[in-house]
Amino acid sequence: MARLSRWQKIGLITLVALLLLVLGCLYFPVPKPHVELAPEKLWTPGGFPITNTMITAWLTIVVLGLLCYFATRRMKLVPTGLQNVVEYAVEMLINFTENVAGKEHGRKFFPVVATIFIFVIANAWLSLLPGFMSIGFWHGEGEEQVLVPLFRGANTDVNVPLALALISFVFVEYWGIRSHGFLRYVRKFANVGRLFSGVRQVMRGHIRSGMGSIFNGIIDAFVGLVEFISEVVRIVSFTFRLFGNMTAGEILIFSMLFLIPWVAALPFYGLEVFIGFVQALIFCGLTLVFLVIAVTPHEEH
Amino acid sequence: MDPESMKWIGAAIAIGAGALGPGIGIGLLGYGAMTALGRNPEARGPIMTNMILAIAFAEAIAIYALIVAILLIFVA
Amino acid sequence: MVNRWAAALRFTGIGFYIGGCIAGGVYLGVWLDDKYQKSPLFTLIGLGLGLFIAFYGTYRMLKSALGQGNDKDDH
Repeated sequence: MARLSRWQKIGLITLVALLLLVLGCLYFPVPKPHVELAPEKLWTPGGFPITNTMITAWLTIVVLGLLCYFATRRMKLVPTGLQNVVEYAVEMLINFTENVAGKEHGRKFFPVVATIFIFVIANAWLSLLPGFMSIGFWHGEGEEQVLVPLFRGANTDVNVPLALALISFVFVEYWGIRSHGFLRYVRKFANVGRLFSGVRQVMRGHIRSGMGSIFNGIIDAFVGLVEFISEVVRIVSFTFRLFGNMTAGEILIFSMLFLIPWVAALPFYGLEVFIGFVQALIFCGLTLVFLVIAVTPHEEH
Repeated sequence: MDPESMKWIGAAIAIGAGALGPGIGIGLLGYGAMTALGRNPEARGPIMTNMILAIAFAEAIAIYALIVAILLIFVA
Repeated sequence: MVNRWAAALRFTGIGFYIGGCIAGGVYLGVWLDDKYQKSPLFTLIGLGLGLFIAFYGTYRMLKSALGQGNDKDDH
């Protein structure tokens, strides 16, 4: 082959790519995306439905377990190979935790927070492998056939982000109660101290200061109620942030593949990788921030 | 107007109007982060980390609007 | 100048290798499926095999391309 100039090489590569693209569009057509928000049940052994997201979550657990087993098999003091990679990841996580939460609390918050991060990111990245949402069983007949996929990313099921949000909520409340005591922590939300002292002052005869205290007391109680509601709404917000990001990313990739097969989905695949990482970081980071808020001593007046 | 077309219009309005607020919010966050970075380029790490955290908060609202739109189109 | 093209082509080749392995594995699985009518079992086996060969081959290729400076420390 003669020496081709730079432009001829670029032209040749572009031509080959275009040819592959056209052949791909002709011989492997992509079906219209069929979106279902609820995960599809595959089998029901003994009345217990097994959905495809459940299978993927189990797959994630197996993959993480195998990774940790192989990383800690022959542990050396100076790590090499797989142990090095896993130690690097753990070190980044604990640096992040200690930066946000301080040294002494960081170590105590680390297990649950790091597990949430690793679980979410493993689910999100595993669902990008080929075979997810494309291999499955055909249900229906004739023209109405619908593919029920065998593997579906575990974060696209509302139950998984909901479970993680509940775990995070219970963990935050547990640490709040443990570091403040039950009564003082509840008093953060039901802040009726000043209200009662105001009523007591009015009954003793100091009308003006009593009314001032009652007024401030009502504001305090209201603020406490709003904080309590915001604690509970946090569960909904965590759930839908993770669920929405993952489902929207998956639908986006389907639509892009349907529009221009092979090519248009590539930048969105990169975006999905990045978004998986960012959402895991957000979930873990927000849990940390709320833990720090729950644990810091409340200033007394 | 039949319900089908109302669903489509509703989905379009949901995501269209729902993405306005977060867009402006994320722009403001970026402006604040760039200003802070310009004044103090050495604090790049904490600034970027906190900016990404705050952007995820703002983006969650846009995702709620997207969920409503998806529900309207595919489930209702 | 020729080094840049060689490196770029090598990495593009790795990309095509991954895609080709996975596509080949899945195609083989689908063909066996159609022949023996065992719903998606062969497809999954073909996919798993294709994935494993693709990633293992990538690991070997990248190790030889990038790890030329790392094998010389002392333990």
